[in-house]
Amino acid sequence: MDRKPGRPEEQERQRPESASGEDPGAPDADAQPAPGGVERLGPLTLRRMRKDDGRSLIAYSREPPSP
Amino acid sequence: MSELRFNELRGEQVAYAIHRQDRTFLPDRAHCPLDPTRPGHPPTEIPLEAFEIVVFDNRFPAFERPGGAAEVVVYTDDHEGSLGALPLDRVEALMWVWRHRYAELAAREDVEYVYIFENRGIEVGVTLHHPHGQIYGYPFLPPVAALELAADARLGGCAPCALLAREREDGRRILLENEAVTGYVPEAARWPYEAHLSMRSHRASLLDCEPDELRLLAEALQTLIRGYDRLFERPLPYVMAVHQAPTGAEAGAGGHLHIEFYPPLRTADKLKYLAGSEQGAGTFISDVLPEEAAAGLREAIERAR
Repeated sequence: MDRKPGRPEEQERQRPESASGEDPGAPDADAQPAPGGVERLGPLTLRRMRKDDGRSLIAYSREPPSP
Repeated sequence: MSELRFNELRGEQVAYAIHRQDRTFLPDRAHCPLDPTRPGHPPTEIPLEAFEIVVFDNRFPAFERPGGAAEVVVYTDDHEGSLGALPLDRVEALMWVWRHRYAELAAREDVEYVYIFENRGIEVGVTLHHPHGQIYGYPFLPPVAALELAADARLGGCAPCALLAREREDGRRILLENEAVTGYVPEAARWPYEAHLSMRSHRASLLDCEPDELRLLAEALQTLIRGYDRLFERPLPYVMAVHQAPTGAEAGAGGHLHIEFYPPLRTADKLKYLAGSEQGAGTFISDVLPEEAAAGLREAIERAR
């Protein structure tokens, strides 16, 4: 079997972006771009960063309440 | 970079990560690398003054590209506390974070199995007390995941589904239940107070869970951990292991989201050691019957409510 888990429509989007090993910061299927450079993930927002030594860091927080 | 060698007698991979000898070991309170970076203080691993949940690449990885992944999941910027003591909405948020990490790591070609876990307590070798867990993306299918697939084949379908049905029918070892999750001590538990939280409906991974199920999983997780901490009236050390479907060549072959807990204590102050029989013969010998453990844990869970 060579199918990755998850819904089929997600895989089409996930694999090409992250399979190369060149772009660990690529958004996944759950996370949708949102204004302000952050991505939305269910009830959360996430912000991707790079540490000084190149390691990735993701900060997750609950979405601010709607106005 | 780690090196993998295949142990022929055991039929398993062994990872050599010699750089981990230098990893941070039980730093004093003022030098916790998982604290936020405070103005005027030295930088920590997290360059933020405050945060809710943060995930970053482990500085001392057991696995790394192009041979897997090792990530640290920090549950809170508060150094004190535990998964059980966090507000429920934070634990619910953690379920979404786990799901997100599973999805992203599952999509990588160098990851065959995504394993989310927490080591809690010095008894299980924790090196940092700040509330956190870890995620390994194994570049191969590890033995326990392979054994679960073998159990599926042996039982002629999803083994965790079949075992959950048996436990619910028996009832003696059930610890807790909500609309989505059942907690129980397995009939053949290896550790004295081992417990499993299993999704009641077949869910191969967190990706298959509805938002309500993630909330209910968070609720069950906290209920069990709070009960654990009342069992001996002390924070109970444990290994928490999140088991989900494999993500590589075996993807789609099986898997059922469940969380296993292995506390190493057999009494309030006595450890269950893995000694001759367990290490040399692979057979666990337990001092506590699962039915008695379940009764004690149910009582502790009630006291914690």
